[in-house]
Order: sequence, then C-alpha cells, then structure tokens
Amino acid sequence: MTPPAIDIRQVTFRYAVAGTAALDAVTAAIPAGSITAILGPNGSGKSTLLHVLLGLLQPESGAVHVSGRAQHGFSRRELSRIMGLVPQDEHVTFELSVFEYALLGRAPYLNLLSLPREEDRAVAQAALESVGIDALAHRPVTSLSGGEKQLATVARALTQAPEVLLLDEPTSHLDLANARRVLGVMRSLRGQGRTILWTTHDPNAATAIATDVLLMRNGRVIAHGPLAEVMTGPLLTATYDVPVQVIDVEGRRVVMVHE
Amino acid sequence: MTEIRTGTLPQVSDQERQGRRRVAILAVVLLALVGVSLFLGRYPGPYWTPLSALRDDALAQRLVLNLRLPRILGAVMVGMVLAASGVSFQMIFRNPLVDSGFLGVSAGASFGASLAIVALGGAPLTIQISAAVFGTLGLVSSYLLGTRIRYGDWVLRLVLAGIAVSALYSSGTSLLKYAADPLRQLPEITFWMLGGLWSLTWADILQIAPVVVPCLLVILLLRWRLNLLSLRDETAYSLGVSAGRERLVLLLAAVLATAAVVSKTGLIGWVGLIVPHIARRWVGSDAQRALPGAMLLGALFTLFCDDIARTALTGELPLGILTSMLGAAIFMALMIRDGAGMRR
Amino acid sequence: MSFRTSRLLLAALVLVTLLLSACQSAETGRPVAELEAETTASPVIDVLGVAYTLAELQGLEQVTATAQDRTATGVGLLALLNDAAAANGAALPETVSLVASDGYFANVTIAELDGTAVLGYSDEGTLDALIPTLAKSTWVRDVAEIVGPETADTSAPQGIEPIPLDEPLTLTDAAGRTVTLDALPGRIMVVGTGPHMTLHILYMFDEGRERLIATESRAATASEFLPFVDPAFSDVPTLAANPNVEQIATMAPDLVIMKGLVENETGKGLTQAGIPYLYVNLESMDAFFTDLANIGAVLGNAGRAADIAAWYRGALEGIDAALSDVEDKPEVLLVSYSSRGGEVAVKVPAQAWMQTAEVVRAGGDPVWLDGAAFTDGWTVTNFEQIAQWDPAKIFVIVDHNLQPREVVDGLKADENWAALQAVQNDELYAFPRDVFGWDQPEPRWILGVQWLATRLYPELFGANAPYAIDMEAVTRSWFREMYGMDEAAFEEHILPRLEMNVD
Repeated sequence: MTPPAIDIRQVTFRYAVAGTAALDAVTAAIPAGSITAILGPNGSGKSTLLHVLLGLLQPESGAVHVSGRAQHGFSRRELSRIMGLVPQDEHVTFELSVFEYALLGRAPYLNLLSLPREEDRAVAQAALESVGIDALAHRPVTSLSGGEKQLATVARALTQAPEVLLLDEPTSHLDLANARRVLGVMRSLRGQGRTILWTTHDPNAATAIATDVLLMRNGRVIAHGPLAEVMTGPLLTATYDVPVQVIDVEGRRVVMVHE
Repeated sequence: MTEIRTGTLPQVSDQERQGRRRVAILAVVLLALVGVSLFLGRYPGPYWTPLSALRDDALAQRLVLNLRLPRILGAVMVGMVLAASGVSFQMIFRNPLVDSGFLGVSAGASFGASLAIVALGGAPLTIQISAAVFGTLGLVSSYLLGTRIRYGDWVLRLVLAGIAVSALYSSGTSLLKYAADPLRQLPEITFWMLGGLWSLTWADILQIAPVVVPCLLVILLLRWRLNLLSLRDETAYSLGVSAGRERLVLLLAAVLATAAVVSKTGLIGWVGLIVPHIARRWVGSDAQRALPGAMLLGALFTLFCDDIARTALTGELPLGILTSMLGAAIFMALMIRDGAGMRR
Repeated sequence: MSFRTSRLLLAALVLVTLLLSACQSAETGRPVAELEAETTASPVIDVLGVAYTLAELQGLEQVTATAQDRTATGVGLLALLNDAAAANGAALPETVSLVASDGYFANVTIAELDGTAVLGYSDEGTLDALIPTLAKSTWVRDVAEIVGPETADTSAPQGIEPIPLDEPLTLTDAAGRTVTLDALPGRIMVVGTGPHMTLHILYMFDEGRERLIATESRAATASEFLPFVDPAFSDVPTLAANPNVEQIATMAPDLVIMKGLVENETGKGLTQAGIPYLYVNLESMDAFFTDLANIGAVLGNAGRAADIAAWYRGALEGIDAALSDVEDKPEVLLVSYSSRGGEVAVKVPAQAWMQTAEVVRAGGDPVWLDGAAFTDGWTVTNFEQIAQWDPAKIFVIVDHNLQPREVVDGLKADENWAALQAVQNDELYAFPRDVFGWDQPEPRWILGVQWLATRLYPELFGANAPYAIDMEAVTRSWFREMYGMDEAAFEEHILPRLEMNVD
C-alpha cells in the first residue's frame, strides 16, 4: 500500500499567540496520485494549510509527513524537489520569456553558483510541452493573458519535477474558457504519478476534475474522502452555511446554491 | 523524484542567441573605446594625441600612463559598479524605477564622506569606510521605511521611502557643509559631490579595486539568482531559495562596491537607473544576459561621458553633470516612448 | 527603430547644443585686454600693426569673390596688405598669418594671393577671409588681425629658461609638503582659487613679472590691479576654470603655484605628470611671511623678499610698541555689508581669518568672537545681536558693488543703527579700499592694520600723536616700495579709487 503523498496529523496553527486557531487539529491523508480539491468558505484555512505543508508556516502542534517522511526532516532544497507551488497570482516585474521563467523552477537542483545546464533546459522544455504552451516559449511572460500566465506558472512548478503539486486558487480569476483549459492540464498531469492538491472556492471546478475532496470550515476538517462520498448536499451545506443542492447532470455532479 | 520526461531538445531561441551576441558586441565596443580613449586628451593639443607624441614625448607618455590610463580604468569600474548595483536593486526590490540614488545609498555615502572630511579627519580610508557604512544605512532605512508606508503599491512605497531618506541625508550633508571650514573642508566636500574622476591615480585604483572586483564577481556569479529573487517571496521559498540570505549577500556586494566607488569619485547619477533599462531592452531581461550587458553598457556610458568631460573644453566638466544630463535626456525619451517598460 | 532613434537623437542634439553654448563662454587663452566696442568708428582689424576702421576698409579696393559654395564681398586682401605695408614704410613680408579672435590662425604666402582674395564682411559683423586660390583651411573666419611672421604669436609671455642651481632648493609649502627644485623655474603658472592673492605678491618681484606665463581665473579677470602695475599683464593668458592637468601641461610650466592647505586633485595629477607645484596659504599674517619667503626663494630673490618682510614687520612692530602699555582695548565690530538681489546681508568674519587678525593686531577687542561662531566662514548676524554687543567702534566692509558713502549714510539714517553708541559717537567707519579692499588676505592687509590703528587709538596714532601714522604717506610709500609705482602712476590709477576716509 503506497503511503499517502501527504499525511497531515492533528495540525494546529495560530497566527497570533492567543488568537483563534487558523487550523484546528486538521487531519487528512492525501492519497498518492489523487487530485484532491480543498473546498471551504473564505477564512476556512485553505491557504494556511498549503503554507504549512510547504513549510512556510510552522504548526504549533501536529505533524506533516511527506511521502512517508516527516516534513521537518527534509532540508528546504529537498522539500522543494518534492513539492511545487503554483501561487494564485505571480507578478513578474521584468520581461522574462516564458521559457526563462519556466527554467526558474530548476532552482532546487542548482546550487548558489551554478547556472542552468542543458539538462535543466530540457526539463523546462518538457514542462512547457506537457502544459501545452511550448508555442509561447519565447514570448515575454508579461504579455500573456491571464490563463496563459497561469499555465506558465504551472509549467514553472512542473520544472521542479515535484511529486506533489500544490495550487492555490488556480482558476479563481480566470474566465470559463481559460479555467477549463487550466483544469484540463491539471487533469492530464495526474497521469504521471503526481499528486495534485489544490484549493478553490468554486465547488463546480472541483467536481470537474477532482478525485478526492477535503471540506474545511473555520480551520476544521468537515469531511475528507472520494468525490462521490463527500460532494453531497448536506456536507456542502454544513461547510458553506448556505443551502446547497447537488444534482446529477449527464453523469456529472453539479453544485447549486438555493435561494 | 518522478521521472523526467524530456521532450524535444530545446532550441536556443533566436532572441537568446541575439542577446548573447549583443553582449559580445558590447564587450568588443568597450575594448575599442578604451583603446580610443587613450588617444583622447588635451596634451599636446586638444582632442587627439598623435602617435608621434606618444613615441617621442616623455611627458606625453607619463600623462597617458599615469593619468589617462588609471582614469579610463576608473571610469570603466565606476560604470560597471553603478550598472550592476542598479540591476541588482531593481530586481531584488522588483522595481524598475530605483537605483542607488533613489534608495538612499548615494545620499548616505555622501553624508558619510562629508562627515569623515569635517569631523573624522578626512583620511582617504576613513572617507571610504564612512561612505560605505552610511551608504548601507541609507539602504536599510529606505527599505524599512518602505515597508511601513501605507500608501500605494510596493513600487511607489519604496521610491517614496528612498526619496525621503535621501532628502534626510542630503540635509545632513548641507549642514556639514555649512559648518565646514571653507578653506580646507568645504572645497573638498563640494568637489566630491560634483562627481568626477579628476586626477584619478593608480593609487586610487589600487585602493578601491580590492573591494570592487570581488563584489562585482559575486554579483556576476549570482546573476541567475537575481531572476529568482525577483519572484514573490512565497514562490522563492517554494523553490528552496533562502531569499533573505541571498538578498543580503547581493545587496551587501552592491552597496559596498557603490560606496567604495562613490567615495573616490563622488556622486555620479543616473547610470544605475537607465543603463539597466537600456540593457534589458537590448539583450533581454534575463539577468544572465542583462547583468553583464548592463555592466558593459554602464562602462561604455561612463567612459564616453568622462572622455567628453576631460577633452571637450579647456576646463574640466564635472562628470556627474554630464551623466545626469545625458542620462536624464535618455530617460525622458524612454518614458515618453513606452513608460519605461513597466507593466501593471 | 525610427521612433526610438529619433528620440535619442533629439536628446543628443540638446546635449550637444548645451555643450556648444558652454564652449563659447570658455576662454581659450585670448589676451584679456581685447574687449573693444564694435562701432564703425573704432578699429575692427589690425594689419601688420596698422589699425583699420570699417570705414577705412571700405575706402580701399572692394572685391567680390566666389569659391566652392561661398561668396564674399569685402575689401581686397592684397590691396589691404599693400596699404598697410605702405603705411609702415616697409615691404610686404613673404608670409602673413590671419589670426581669428579665438586664436585660430592660418599662414598665407603672399605670392599665392591674387586679386580674388577678399576679406569679406559677414552678416554677423565679422571679417571672413575667402581665398579662392588657396585651401579652405586658410579662409579664416572672424579675422581680428593680420601679422607678419616675426610678430606672430609672441604676444603671450614666454618666461625664461630655468636657472640651474648648485644645490637643490628645498622648501616647505603651505600644505606641509617638501618641495625640492633643482633649478629656479623660468615658467610659472598660478591656478586654483583666489589667484589674485598670489599674483599680487608675485608682481612685487621683477622676476615674478618676467616668469609668469599663465593663470586661471574663476571670475572674469585674474586681477584688475595688476595692469596698472605692469601693462604686459594683460597679455598673460587666462585659462578657463578647472583646467585639467593635461591642459596645464600644454603650457609647459616649470612650477605651478596653488592656494591651498591640503593636497588637492590638481596636485595629485601634477605629481603624476612630473610637474613641480607649490601650495600657498596667505590667510594669516604668519602665513603671509612664510609664503612670501617661499615665493622669494623660488624666484631666486630672497633678498627682495626679506626687504618686503622688513617693511611689513617694521610697521607691525611700531604698532606693537605703541600698544605695549595699553590695558583697555576698545570693543570693535567688523562686519561685511553686501546686498545681492535686494537682500542685505551683514556678516562677521571667522576667527581664523585675516579680517579678525587685523582687528586684533591693531589693538581692538573683537566682540563677535564671544559665543563662538558656528561656522568657519562668514556668519550672518542680525541686528539684535549687534545691539546686544553695542560696540564702541564699528567698521563696515562694503561690498565692491556698493558705494561706501551711501552705505554708511544709510546705516546712520537707519533708526536702529542710530541708537548704537558707535553711531552716536561718530565711530562708524567704512573699511578702506582702493582697487581691492584692505581687509582681504592679500598684501594690502598691512595698510588695513595701520589704518585701523589710527581709528582705534587716535590719541596714539592720529595726527600729531606720539606714534602718528600718516596714512596717505604710508599708502604712497607702500605702492612705491612694493610695486614701483611713482607719484604720477599712483595719482592716475590708485588715488581716484582710494576711499579711506568714509565715516
């Protein structure tokens, strides 16, 4: 039985010493090779959880295991070879080309004084191809549309050759067409032994491609499991505190909010 | 680690190839200008020194070897340092509108040098160290102040903070000038602030080279990291980059080199601001090419201006004035053209 | 490409225009005395020593010539040359030089001229040569004079050959440097700030006048006084401000004298070029004697320096002796009064300056030194402070743009100043001056000290007093001893400008 890609055990995190817990004894075992969507209202702790997994934030109690090893046992470089982050909005100030930008993902494999080599360039090229934007390779990142920029960021994260890809609200500010494109790419990435963990506030995006769903509210896990089990009206209503109905349309779940 | 699926072998883009070629062109042009500059001067006659003079006139030989050559090298060094610092500051602070002038480094270094002249004895080493210390302080104050301003986006905040800190140090320098002994100290300060490479001798070069060369090497070796540091902190972290440490090393190298150079030559403005822009435009934004490109272009620009400063008229023109005039004119032209490449 | 390039070209054009306009204001070694009004009645050109007005040129044969793309109408060049030669009663030389007002010149062989050579009248009022038979480089624009070969280019002073010494001369200059000379310099340059101070000492020596070859000036002229002492001073080239070392080197000086107390950039450069240089201080009485001795030494006339020093010391000792029993010193205020752009500024001098030293030496008690001055320069003072001091005597150094009489009358009429005891007792004086003020750290300081003594202690130094100083006699004596000015020269040049009795 393959160990979970990420095993989150009783993680509690507070931003202020005496404040409310942003994460309250969160426990979840993310299955390897899954596409797990983290859903929840604003302030439920979704982004906080990602940051803890990355190691940006230290939990006050609990543990995180990545690929069977304790997270704090990894050096930062090692961890970044395993986990890649696609942030919500990457603001690139200078006009790097898409290829040069993707190449930045090779940082975990280069030490301070090294410059990217042929093999690094090959990996970056492959990442661009798997995301489907190799035609844009030499355009400046700053000239891309929203969706294309998001894909470029995905490519950059892929260049890290990570086992786990973390995405923070990847489609939240994209229009339908671009969102569809990005989701499609995410789905295709799964097929290479990768685990994908992503946050979103749109349940319908989750139903499009997720295999597993993690529901959160107020820093607590409401439910976690395969899509079919967790994406139900009652659970979603409990999560969002609004009446939610889930209906089946041509074999696909659609989430509707009641008036 | 998952298996790397390598696709088609990536072609070096035409852009990249062109960028590299252009960097090489800049290097060649710089060497050529250095050679030409050896023949420019006012002795024995204005503008061009004929080969016969160099061959036969002992004074001409002495002037070329002891005055012109170190001055030319000095100009090259100054240009490289200011441009490299400019690129580093711009990428680290993710702000194409800054250079050491805007971030309180130059104003701080001036203050430090003036303080050394007025109150600390005025020995050359003291001036250099004082300029370096206060230059660094200027940068730190600008950065800290920028994080505390609650107006505008990061770009604006940093520039505002830098302007405020620079103004503070400038008034400090004015106060020192007011208190200075007009016979001894004031002329030294005033001359220093005008910015010039008058009579830069081999001794001066040997004093600043041990600081400048290693610092430039550090920045050059770490140039790819500049790309990384221009990303968000979060992203850099996720890429395993110790952003704080790397920024510190690069900033320290930039400030030390700038302060060392400024302590000998005074304030020379605008090079650090516009040369990185033009270099990026010409050879690409990737720091792998933009940094060496900017360094070469900065050296060219400064050397060109200094050649004019010492050759055009019978009297010396202050270099700082020339670089400001030319730099400001080019900057205005660029801004009109397309907003200096800033993207929202 | 075009848009960007055009913008860059525009920027370059602006820059070049600015530089060119700066060019025109830089002097290029042109003798100071050539400042003629441009009217048709005054001479516009000097040909072989003969001056011609425009009307006289128009009276000679007129020629119109065309060559390449230019046409000129004016006086025929050959006709002009022949006329000048006839006026001289001499034959035409074989070659002449056409010299432009900026110093550019071209040599022309007479035999190669014909009736088409013309000195045309340009639209700007200059005389431009057009010589169709010769190369364009001879078509000199703005011709100011035409000289024969033996007189060409000797207007600038040449100095003399260095005088070798049996033993090297070693001096310590004002910056504490040890200067060693193997030969006495024959070509001396004075550069840097305040050149007039050094020049005025230099011109006390015949050797100095002979060996000065160039000076620099930050203002328009190096000295308004020296042309009265030696008319040849007008021929000394004045370099534009901040010459760099290469520019200095083109004049091949044997010694460069600069005013300064620390090694400056020019000095460093001169070291690299192997040109000896000397710093002078001149800001205090002691410094004056040291610098005077140094200058005398490098000119090879230590005896003259000693004589000058003896004159000064004699005067000072006379005052010291008279003051030896004095216990109560009058409180004195010395201020400079200037009005720039409508703003009146009253300032007190720094503690270490000559102005203060003159007051102290003449036996005064300088009130402004209580409460240490914040700066080491002129410090602005306001009337409240002056009222608080309420000194016994007030001396006002009036800015050279203003009239001392007007300033003093104005102050006396001012109701604030009228309340001061000094004004009520008629003890407000304008500090004396002739071409230069007597307060400055230039050689006239000795006159300032003596004059101050007569005003501070009239009972000791006034007319008929035990140690009487007759200032007019002393002044005449000084100009005669120091500069060889006889009575006639003194009365023509100095007396009209002398103001020492304004109170």
